[in-house]
Formats: sequence, structure tokens, C-alpha cells
Amino acid sequence: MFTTGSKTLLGMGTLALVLAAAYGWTTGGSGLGPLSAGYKGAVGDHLGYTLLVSFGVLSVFLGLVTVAARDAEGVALAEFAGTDLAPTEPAPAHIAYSPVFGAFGAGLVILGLVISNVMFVIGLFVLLAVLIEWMVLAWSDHATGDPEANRAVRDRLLAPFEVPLAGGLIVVGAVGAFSRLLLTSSKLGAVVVIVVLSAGIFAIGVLFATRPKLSPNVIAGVLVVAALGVVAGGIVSAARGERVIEHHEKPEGEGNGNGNEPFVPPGTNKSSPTTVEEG
Amino acid sequence: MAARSSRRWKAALLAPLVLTLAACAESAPLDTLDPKGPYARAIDQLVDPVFAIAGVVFLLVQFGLLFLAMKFRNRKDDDGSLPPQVHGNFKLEIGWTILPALVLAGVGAGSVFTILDLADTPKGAQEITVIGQQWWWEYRYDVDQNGEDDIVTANDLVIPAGEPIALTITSRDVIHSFWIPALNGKRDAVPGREHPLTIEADEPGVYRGQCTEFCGLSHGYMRMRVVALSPADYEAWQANQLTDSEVPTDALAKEGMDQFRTSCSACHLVKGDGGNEDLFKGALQVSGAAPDLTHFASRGVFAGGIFDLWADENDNLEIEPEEVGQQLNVADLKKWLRNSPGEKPMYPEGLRGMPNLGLTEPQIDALVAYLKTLE
Repeated sequence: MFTTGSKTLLGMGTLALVLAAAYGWTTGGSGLGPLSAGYKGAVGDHLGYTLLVSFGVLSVFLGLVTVAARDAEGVALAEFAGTDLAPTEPAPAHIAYSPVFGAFGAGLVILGLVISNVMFVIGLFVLLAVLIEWMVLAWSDHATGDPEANRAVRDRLLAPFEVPLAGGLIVVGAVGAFSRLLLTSSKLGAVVVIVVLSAGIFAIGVLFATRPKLSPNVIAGVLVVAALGVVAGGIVSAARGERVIEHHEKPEGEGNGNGNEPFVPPGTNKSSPTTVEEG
Repeated sequence: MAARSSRRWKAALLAPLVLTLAACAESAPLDTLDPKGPYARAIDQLVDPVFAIAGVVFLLVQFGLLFLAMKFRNRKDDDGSLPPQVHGNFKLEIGWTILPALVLAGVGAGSVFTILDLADTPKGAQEITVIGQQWWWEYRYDVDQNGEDDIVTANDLVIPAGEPIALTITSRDVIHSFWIPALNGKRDAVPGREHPLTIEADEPGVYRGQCTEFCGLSHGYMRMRVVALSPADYEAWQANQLTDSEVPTDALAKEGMDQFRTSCSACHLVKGDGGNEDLFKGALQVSGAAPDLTHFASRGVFAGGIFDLWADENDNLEIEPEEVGQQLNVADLKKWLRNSPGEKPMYPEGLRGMPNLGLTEPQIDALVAYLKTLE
């Protein structure tokens, strides 16, 4: 009944669910809470419990799909399809990134449910984008018999959206990473960082401009290394946090304490009219 | 035709000469290139080399333009053909890319380090709050640093010479900009925000400034002065400012005090027995403030800094700080009391500025006598 692939997934899923229950009970869960996803009692630490249960459910689901598809094995598929011969498998026309991005989006949605609304919404958008990409790809792969033409059809439809969106994301990512780098550095360090970064960008530009016959692979490699450096620097800087920035403290007793009231200098007659009717 | 051409040539030669001579003004209190303190000097030391570099670039470009225009001008025997066209000179392109980049990098580095230097406020510097409103400046000193201002003055920002002063600049109504060019750069005064600025004067003296953010009718008349005193004089000034007014002994001044309590208490405050603390409920202005006049006669200017309050024995209004108190500038003070909106553009019907109080001449005389006692 169980195929080779499904055993791994179902085993992982079961283990994750057992661990989730154990984790729930050892972190404050009560009664049947960890077994009933909180329906009959507390589940303990929400974050860890949710992660383990999500991982378990996903693994079990994938395991069941693998059982149904018989590990996508040719003979099994032929048996499933009721044919004598296994269908020939066409070579893939391209690398499919959608599952990777889909998993990333699903992860964001699950984590977002626990950690923050923003992450949840971003996850939904990623899933929506993956859905659209996957749908168009599924259609365009069968649009004609020519894989190149199919690819062109797909690009014609999606590139006008993908290119500006990707450009925007690159800008946002770069600005976000640069800002984290500058905010975590000291005041003088920030100057050094921005000068070095600017000089680096300038040097790369000069290199590309003066070497028109540079291999596309080298160009791509340099850009990838630079992008990874910026992103890694941004992530490390974000984790390190901002430097201490001095703020002038307001004298006590001013405002209602929620920080939303405008600062009024001392000695100001607050009952004075701020608008005057024209005579 | 020839005469007209000659006139044009003369005008072309005279214009730069006039501009050059105009830069040689002897009395230029708002000169940005004449620093009188370390912070203004830091700016000046950045401006000078940048200006020199910009000047060299300007001359090179202009002479280059002139040279090319002359060399390739349309001649009578011109056959219409183009000179040899230059394209794709790699060395030149690299050169004119890298050289400006290096110049700009140098200017940028100098600018950043100067900005960082100017942003540093020395620890222990005396703190003064500067508040702009239409159309005058208020200065508040928390001498004992207990969170309450002990000295409130207007128009003259009095500081000790040779010491850094940490200003906190804000506004009560619209955006103004505080600027004493001899002591530091400009800093906006924005309602609801507090902007820091550090100033320091090398020597005792008077350093003038001007609001540099358009703020309404009398923006051009919204002036300020920094009066830098020697440490001993500053101590004495501070001690005097911490005292309250007393009831005048002179009969006319006493009459003026009564008039002040009747006519001026809606906006102005004078602390002490000789004042109106019992009547004053806050200034009836859109900004919510009017100048505190407790030590009016200790200042050098009034009406937002547009009139000098004191003159020397020869009625000369250009006086030194130590000459304050010698001879009151009665003429301008009376003009102001007689019809202040006539002396300075204001909008008193909209509670922005001082109204014409309709005072009689005897009332004005009494008020002048009283104000003179507020030392």
C-alpha cells in the first residue's frame, strides 16, 4: 500500500505531530488541547506548536499524494491509467521554480498567522503570484508543439508584469539592506559604508563598461555575488539592530503620554485661538 | 550704431566691476564669509576650497567655451564643411569621468566630516531654547536646569563669549529659520519639532541674523541678534535677569505702569511687583505668545529687532553692548507705541502682531517712562 517515497513523508509527518503534542504538553498545554489543536484545552507555546503541526500536516498531505501517484513511477502510472505501456515523459522545457516559491509563500502564510499580519499578507501575495505563474505556465507549455514558441508566448504575457515587479523588489531590497547597514553602523562607520558601497557600484559599472566582451556568465556571477553580499549584510545588520540614536526627552507632564500630541513650547498660551474668522 | 556698440562694451566691463566693488562693503553684518566662531569657521573652511575648485572649473569651462567659439567661428571664406569629428576617445572619456568623480568625492567627504563636526554638541554646553513666532524670536534659559525656564527674553540672544551654546530651536506658529551667519549655519524652526544647533562666539560683540524662511507679512523684518558678553558681564546680566520688576518711584513711570496694566496685559507680561502677573492670562495671539517685557530696557533692540532701543550721547544708534542704558531711542519707541502696524507690516485684526492701541500722547509718554525702568 505505502510506496517508498510516501513512507518517508508519512513518517516525518507522524513524528512531527507526535512531537507537536509532546511539545504542547511540556510548554503549558492542558487536557486534550495539544491533540485537538486547542479545541479542548490549551496548546502550550503557540509558535512552536503551530510550526510542528503545520509541518506534520503538510508532510502527511504530501505523503498521501505520493501514495495516490504511486511515486510517479511509470509502471504504476500505466496501471493507474489503464494502459499497457508507460507514457513517454517529455523532457521538461524549463526549470520550474513555482514549487519552491509556492512553498516559501505557504511558509510565510503559516508563520504570519503566528508572528505578524504583514508576513501573512506577503505570504498570500506570494501564493497568488505563484498561482498565476503556474497557471500561465501550464497553459503555455501546451500552447504549441514548439517549446521555444511556448516560452515566447509565456514571456509575452507575463514579462510586462514580472520585469517592473522584479525591478521594484530589487530596489526595495537594496534600499532596505542599505538602510539596515547604515543604521547599524556608527555615524562615521555609516559614511565609510556608503562610500565603499558607492565606490564598489561605480567600479562594477566601470568594469562592465570598459569590458564589452565580458562573458555573460562572469557578469551574472559578479551581480549575484554583489546581491548576495548586500542581502546578507542587510540581514546581519537587521539582526544586529540599529545603533543607539539619541532623542531629546520631553519634559514630564506634557501631552497625554501617547506621543501623538504636537510639541508645544513652554510659555505658549494654549487657549489662544489657532484660527481666526475673517472680518 | 558704433556708439551703441561702444555703450554695450562699457556696460559689459562696468557690470563686473560694480559687482566686485559691491562685495567689498565695510558693514556687512550678514556676511557668510566672515566667521566669528568655531562652528561658522568650520563651514567657512569647507566653503573656501570648494569655492576655489568651483572657480577653477568655472574659468576652465568658460575659457574653453570662448576658445572653441573663437576657433571655430563662421569665417567669410568658410566652405561649410565640418572640422574633423572626434568620437570614442577612450582615454579622454575615462579622464573626464574619473576626475570629476574624484573632485566630487573629495567635496563629499569634506562635507560629511564638517556636517558630523557641526552635529556634535559638547557635553556641558549651556542650553537655550529658541522659539520663533510671527515676527520675533523668544529665548528661554533654564539656568538651574530644573525643567522650568528662569529667564525669558526676546530679540537679543545673550550668551557668554568663548563658550559653546546648545540651542534647541522650535516655532509656535509657522516655519521660521534661525540664522546668525557669523556663528553657524541656518536651522529651521518648525512647529512641533525641536532642532538642535550649537553656536559659539570667539569674542564679545553683537552678531546679527535674519529669519530665512518666508513666514508671512513681516518675514523681512524678523531679525535677531546674538549679544556675546565676557564671562563676568554675562554673570551680571544673568543675575539681573533673575530679578523681578519693582514698582517705579517716579510719578510718570508709575502712571505708565498703570497704563501698561490696562492696555498691554492682554499680551505682554512683566513679572514682579511692578508688573502685571495678577492680570496676565497668556498672550492673546495666534502664536500664544508675545514678548516678555520684564527686562525690556536691558535689550538692545525692540519690535522684532527692527528698532534699536538705545543710542549713544550723539544719538548714534550703532552702539556697543556696554552703551545700552545710556540714552533711550525715544523717537522710535514712541512711533511704535503710537501706531505699531504702521511701522511694521502685521495682521493685528487676525491676532498676528501688535495692534494700534489708540494711545494718547500723554499715555505714550508715561509708557515710555515705565518701560525705561524695566532694566
